[in-house]
Amino acid sequence: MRPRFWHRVRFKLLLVSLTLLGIPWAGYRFIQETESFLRDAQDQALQTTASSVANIMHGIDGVFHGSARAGSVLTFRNLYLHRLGKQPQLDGYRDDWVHFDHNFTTLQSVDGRLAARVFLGQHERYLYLLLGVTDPAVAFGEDGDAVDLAFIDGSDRLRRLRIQPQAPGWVVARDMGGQGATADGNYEATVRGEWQNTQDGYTLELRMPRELLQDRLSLRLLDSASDQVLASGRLFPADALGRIVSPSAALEPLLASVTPPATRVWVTDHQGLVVGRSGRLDENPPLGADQSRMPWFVHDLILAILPRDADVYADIPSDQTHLFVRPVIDALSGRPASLRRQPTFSDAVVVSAAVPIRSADGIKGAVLVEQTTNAILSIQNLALQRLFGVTLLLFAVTSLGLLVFASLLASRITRLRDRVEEAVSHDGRIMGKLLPDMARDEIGDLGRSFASVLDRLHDYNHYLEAMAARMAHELRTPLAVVRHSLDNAEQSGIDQRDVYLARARDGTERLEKILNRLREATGLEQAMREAETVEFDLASLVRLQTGGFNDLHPDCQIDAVGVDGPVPVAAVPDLLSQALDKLVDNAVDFHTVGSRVTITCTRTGRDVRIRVFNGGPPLPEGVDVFQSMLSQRSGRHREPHLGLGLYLVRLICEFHGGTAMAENGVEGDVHGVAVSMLLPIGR
Amino acid sequence: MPKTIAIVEDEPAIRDNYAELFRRQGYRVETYAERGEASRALSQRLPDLALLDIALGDDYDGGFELCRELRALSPTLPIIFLTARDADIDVVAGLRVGADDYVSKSASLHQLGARVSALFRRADAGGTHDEKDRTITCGPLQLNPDRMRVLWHGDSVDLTVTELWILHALVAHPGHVKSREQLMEAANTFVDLATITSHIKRMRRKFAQIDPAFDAIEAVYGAGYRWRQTGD
Repeated sequence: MRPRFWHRVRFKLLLVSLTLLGIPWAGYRFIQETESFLRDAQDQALQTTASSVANIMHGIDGVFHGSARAGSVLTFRNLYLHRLGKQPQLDGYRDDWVHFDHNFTTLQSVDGRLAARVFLGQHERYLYLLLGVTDPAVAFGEDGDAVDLAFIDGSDRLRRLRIQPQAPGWVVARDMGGQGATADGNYEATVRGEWQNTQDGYTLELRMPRELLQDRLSLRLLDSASDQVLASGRLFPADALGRIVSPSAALEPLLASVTPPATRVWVTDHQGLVVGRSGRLDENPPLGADQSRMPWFVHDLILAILPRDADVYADIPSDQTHLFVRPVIDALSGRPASLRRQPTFSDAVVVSAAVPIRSADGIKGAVLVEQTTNAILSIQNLALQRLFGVTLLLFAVTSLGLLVFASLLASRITRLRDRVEEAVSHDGRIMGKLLPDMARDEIGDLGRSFASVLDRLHDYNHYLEAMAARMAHELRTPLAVVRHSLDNAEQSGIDQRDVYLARARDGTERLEKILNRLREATGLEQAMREAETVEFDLASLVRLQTGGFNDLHPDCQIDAVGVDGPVPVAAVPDLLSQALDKLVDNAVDFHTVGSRVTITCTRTGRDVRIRVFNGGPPLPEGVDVFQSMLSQRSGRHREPHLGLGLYLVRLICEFHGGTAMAENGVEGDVHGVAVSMLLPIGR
Repeated sequence: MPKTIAIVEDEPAIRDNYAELFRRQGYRVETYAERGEASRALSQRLPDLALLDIALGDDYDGGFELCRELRALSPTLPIIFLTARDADIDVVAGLRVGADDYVSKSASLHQLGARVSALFRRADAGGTHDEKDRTITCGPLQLNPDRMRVLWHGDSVDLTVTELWILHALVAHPGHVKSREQLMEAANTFVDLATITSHIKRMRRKFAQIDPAFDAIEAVYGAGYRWRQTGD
């Protein structure tokens, strides 16, 4: 029966091959390690770049105004002057400003009820100011809500304008006079605007000519209902007004020269307003151009396992003007910092480092350097792809190899099994020889072992068959004697009958003797089970028995040689005496008339050798004389001869842990056979 | 003058039993225990029939040697082998030592006696030329039970007494199936059923040596054998 698939060698080897899956895991771990290393290196590099840019900025004048002190709270805000691509509609609605949503300056009262979002832009020769105010109660009129502007005009005078409409719609700016002056009630005609209420407050759009003011501007909002004021800067004195910050034209080329590729460098003033920007982030998607060559599932897999451990989700578009965000905040308060952020809708992670630009009286700005991790991701991605490919290839090749190898093994084993099955019939008979396998490995060895086992079994079967024939022969002779004697007794006269009956009895006695011999062999095993080892002198046992042998075999001289000294042994005397008996019987059986039988007993250390020699015909070649039922040498058959004697000798030797051997030998000038027992029984 | 039977057998009890049987039947019996002695005595004076054991003392197949010697002295002397081993029958047949029959040692004295007298009948018939021929003719086969002779297409087939009796039982009623038991009874032999099969096999082989196309002895599966008449 063929084993089920999951029991087969093939399946098991395939299972083992699954350990190959450890390779991608290990590779992935390695890649992660590498990534972490690369990341650290990148952070380090960014910090270095930022620091060197900050050093350069340190020596530049005219760009930075004012400074922040570490730990100081930012109370007033400078206003950033944005360049507008097209002219906004002065309508009091915010539609035009949506694109700049992220660049509004936010002012907020302490209790949070009053808030304003301010945007300053320039289109051609006009300045545009957008105010989005959150005010739960908008009031109009003399004591209503108002917006004040303070600026230095073209002739270096401090001017202040107030916008306090009577109703939503077109507004005018009333001149509030110069420094310390009271309102003179004149209107500044060049300033025009539109005020519109909204759900939670109002929107004010203003337009004024650029020449009207220099780059100092403060803004103040008055809420009449709560009597609160919201200001972007002081309204006096003139040199304390807020500033209009615009990107420095001088800075751009300088920054561009120090910006590494695929890197974005920002320089901000002490309030986080961008005064200079250079370079651009790597905009290639993280997996780069290789994507197209990858199957979709590999792509997805790599994206899934690539680490993207960003600290925050945040977008910093390239037109950002307000960078009062981490890590710039940290830098402005004196600490170099770095941050990993992930832009929304992007796979890339941006690493950024910010360092402060220090001046004599504080921190006058910050440098922010940004890079995507795309380069690292790309390396990782490439490594992962190769890993994936190599793993797949390795897995395929190894699996295939293992499968082929397993199939080969399995087929060889199956073939061996089939051959063994063929060599043995259903009922256990051995049909033929098993051709030994020539392979030198274990399976070949197994095959050879099977072959040799089958050969031995075959020999043994053959021996059993021969033994049956031999038994038949041995039994047939006495059977014939009995039968013929009875036939004769039947046919002859009364006077002769006794002779025949006696002869028949003889025959039955011989049959019994054969049975006794057989029983002796089986009885020996019983005797061995019950045998007790005792210490005795083997020499005296041999001497004693030799006398008995001579009495038993009067026509043959039996001598014991070398048994004068004591040979102390620990053995079973009954068994040894029986073995000696069989050895002598055998020797007498085969001795040539006139030659003598000698028994020698020698001891070397623990090994005791009992040797019985008889002059006579040599041993037959290629026959184990110690097998039972074997009587190859032609002997005199005075007694029923079953060839059990030497078999018993062998059993007794094995019982004592020794061996029995037979060899042709010469003693004096007599050729004959020596049968020895070699026993480790010496004491 | 009584006929002389020589018995060469190393087992005294068996030898004596045989000797006494034949003496009681009126033959003169000479017994020998080993080959040398028998060879010397028998070459001096040939017996009328020789009964030989195969293994003689140390002489594992002394019987065969003795048989060859006797056959050399007389091609017509009836020789019967006594066998103790089943395998010996094949050896006797295979060696073609010229024996006329072989009997298992455990066969009864009655069976041995029957064979001995049959062989004597054949010897006697061979000597005289009796006009009253009881020859059975069956196609190309001629079988004379008195002279114990078988001719196939006129050529003599050298069968043992046992084989001849089996053949006789078959051709007495050509076409009739004889079971193995019947054949055994007819052959006056004490063998197991498988032995009949090997007897048949040897007979076929002997016929085939003369006529390779011989196929008259037909096995009937599960029943026995029959003689197939030519033209069937």
